Amino acid sequence: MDNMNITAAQYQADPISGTNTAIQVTIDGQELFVPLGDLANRHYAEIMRQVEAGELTIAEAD
Amino acid sequence: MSKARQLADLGNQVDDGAVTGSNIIVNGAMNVAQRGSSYQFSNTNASAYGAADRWEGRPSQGTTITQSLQSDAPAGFSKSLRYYCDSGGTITQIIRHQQKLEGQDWQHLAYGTSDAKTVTLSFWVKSNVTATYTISLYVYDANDIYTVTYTVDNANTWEYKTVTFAGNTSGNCNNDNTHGIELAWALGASSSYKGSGVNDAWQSYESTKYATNITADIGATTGNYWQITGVCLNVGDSAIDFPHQSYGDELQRCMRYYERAGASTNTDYTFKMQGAVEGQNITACQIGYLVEKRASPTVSLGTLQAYHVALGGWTTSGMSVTSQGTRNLSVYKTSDTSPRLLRGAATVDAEL
Repeated sequence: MDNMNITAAQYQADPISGTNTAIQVTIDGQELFVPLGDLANRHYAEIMRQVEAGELTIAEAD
Repeated sequence: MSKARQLADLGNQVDDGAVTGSNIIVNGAMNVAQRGSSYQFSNTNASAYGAADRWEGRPSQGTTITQSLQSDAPAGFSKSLRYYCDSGGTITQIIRHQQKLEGQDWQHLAYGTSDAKTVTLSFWVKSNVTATYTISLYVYDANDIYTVTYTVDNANTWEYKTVTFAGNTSGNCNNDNTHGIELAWALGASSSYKGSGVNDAWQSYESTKYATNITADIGATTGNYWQITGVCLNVGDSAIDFPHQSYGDELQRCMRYYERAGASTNTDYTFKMQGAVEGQNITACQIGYLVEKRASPTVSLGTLQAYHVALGGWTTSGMSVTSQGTRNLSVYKTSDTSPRLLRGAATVDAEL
């Protein structure tokens, strides 16, 4: 696995439905919106790996 | 080369199915560069897609490397991709130039069966470091790796190289849209990435087998460089002529993985759409991608803005975005009572 430096993560809610649809993250210094639920997305897969490893916590949506 | 030799080679290519074959690699001529023309890896192990589309740099701590597009190229090509050592040192891991492929695009090679097909890789390379380099073919799901060596014989000279990878009869990658294959050129490796393994044979993957027998290290000395173009991976045990494609066709292939829905600056707004109030005081609009993405993409934004002449002009307040699958994203302006004009720029990334 190639390295990915994730320094912040927070769920983003769809303003219409109110459900979480993305994670706003800072990866290697860049702010990104990562969609939820698609493990084929390399950023999402790495976020989930780090969460399961206890290396990352995702904050609740505002 | 004699006519007889040329005919024999042609016959061999016909037997391999290579004459009508295509390039498995995307953007082998380095012509498409949606992200920009230069990217610096500064003392980091973090990989990134920098200059030419689909090509990922995997750097190492201990050195600073810049990946950039160059107009210097062998005859028949107009671009090349260069890795230049800005600050040399002792690397801690491995420096790689690589492309990852979807598993579903590898199934015709019948890996994991007795009919597994040989593939041939051809490319042009130029470097000031005359040494032995390695290339690895990594079958991700089967966890098998095959490495070969080649040498840069003459400094600062374009050289054409071909190497062959035997078919892997023992394992395949999954037939899906995820990371199935990784083809990687090693440009330097610490001892932990070249400590075991053999060349020219399939073996179980371990990181120590990535660069077996490499002697090159472009990260060691400031000013070192390694440059590549004309990359072609075709079925068969001989190389085909590089199958040039139009820029438009190659761009379409690249946009399955990355699409620049706007410029890198916030002054070049890609989309300007009149939103609609959808209840809860929200203005929303949907932006379709030009090419459907491999997977739900990650979105990177330029400044999003909403406009209403009676409500104070342009504002960034309350703006958000949601990626909605492989075909579009939605932009929102919350806390709104009137429809507004929305504008912004975004890039979407579905790389492997």
